[in-house]
Order: sequence, then C-alpha cells, then structure tokens
Amino acid sequence: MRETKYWALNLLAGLLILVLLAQHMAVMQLDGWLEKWLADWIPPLSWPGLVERGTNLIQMVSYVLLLGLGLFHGFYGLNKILAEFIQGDQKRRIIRLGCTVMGILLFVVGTTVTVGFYLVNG
Amino acid sequence: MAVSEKTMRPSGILRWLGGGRRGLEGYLYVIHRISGLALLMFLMMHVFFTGVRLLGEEAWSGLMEMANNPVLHFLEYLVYVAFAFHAVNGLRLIIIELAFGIGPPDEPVYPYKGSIHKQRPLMLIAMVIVGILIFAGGFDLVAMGH
Repeated sequence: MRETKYWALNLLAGLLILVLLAQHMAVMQLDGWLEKWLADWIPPLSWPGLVERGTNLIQMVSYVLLLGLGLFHGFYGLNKILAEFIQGDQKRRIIRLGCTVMGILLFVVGTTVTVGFYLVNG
Repeated sequence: MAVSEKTMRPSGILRWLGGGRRGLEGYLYVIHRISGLALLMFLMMHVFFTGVRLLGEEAWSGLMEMANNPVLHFLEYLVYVAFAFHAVNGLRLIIIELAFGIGPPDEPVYPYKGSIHKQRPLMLIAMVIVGILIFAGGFDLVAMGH
C-alpha cells in the first residue's frame, strides 16, 4: 500500500515537473527564440536576468517546488533502479536511506540558495 | 558477457543493451532510464553551481565567463535533449499507465494484436514531438548562437 502511494506520488511529481521544468527549459535553452518574440527580453544567465527571476516571489516558490519534486522523482527512480541490482532487504534499506538523505541534503542546500538570494536581493 | 543461468539471457545492467520482446518500446524504456539518471546527475551539480549566485555579481559573472565555451554549451544542449525525451516519453508512459491510448479490450482472435501494437501510434506521435523539440533546441544553439 505504501509503495502504491509512493508510485502515485512519483507519477504526480512527474506531471508537475513537466509543467515547471518546461517553463524553465524554455527560458534557458530556447532563449534565442524568445529573444525574437519578446521585446523586453533579458538574457537569462546575465546578472540582471538572474535578479529579475530570483526576486520574483512566484518564480522563487516555483523553483523550490521544482527542486523538491525533481529530487523526489529522481531519487525515487534511482532507488528503484538500484534495487533491481541489489539482493537482500537490508542492503535495499541502506540504499533507500542513502537516497532519502541525499535528497533531503540537496533540497536544504538548494532551498537555502533560492530563498537566500530572494531575501538578499529582493 | 554475464548471462543468467536459468534463461541464458544477459543479466544485470547488460539486459539494458537489448530491447527484448518489446522491440522499439524496450529501447525507449532503457533510454528513459539513462536520460533520467543523467538529469538527476545534472540536477545535483546544478544545485551546487547555481549556489555561486549567493556570493554576488562578480562571482556569478566569473562562473558564467568560465562556462562560456562550445563544449559546455553542447553538454547543456545534451541536458535539454535528455529533458525533452524524458518528459515526452514520461507523459506517454503516464497516459498508458492510466489506461488511455491502448483502446478498449477486445476478443483474443488470432492473429493476436498485442498491447505494444496498440500503443505504437502514441509512441510515434511522442517521438515526433521529441524530434521537433530537439531540432528547435539545436537550431537555437547552432543558428542563433545561444
């Protein structure tokens, strides 16, 4: 039952990531197209572009959400792949714990940076 | 090559090399996993590299200057390719998981029409979308110089 719940959460996370990451990827990777279409376009990797996005509350919240969802989806998948190659419940539990700890650590680091930047420059 | 004694088929990660009975969809399954692992690796690096912005404009501009080279631009494009594939193929898998796009159940009349066969149009549509997205990103990189 718990596994089904995680699986459903994983699918839901995938769908939400699709929406949030599509927006992020369009800004970052299709910037040549956006520059043609938008009059007030600021290069996304320039400092002004970074400040513009990083100090927008909605953008900041969406980045934190995307980070959390991405880490959950990614480490859930990694855990499932590793579990296929590893025999034994104890070893699988260690792998699951490792994935969880890594995910939480990266979430804390990423959230500190995102919220910190918002507070310092906002 | 390591093989399973019971089935005489490659075991472990070597099984990823073949699509098996699922054919093309089997290869997509493998590419989905590889692209997912690549995206997770990138996300881990991304969290640390973007942290440099907390050190201020000078540190950020220095990092961007260092990253402004053709090799890194190409690697960044590969991340985009992995995302485009993983996202669209993942959406296809979710659609199938929710039992859409596979048609209603029908009588098992010979010659049998397997579920893979029924899903194929959806797979082809998904791969065309992936192709368009990869082309758009490639055009952005090569022709627009971004």
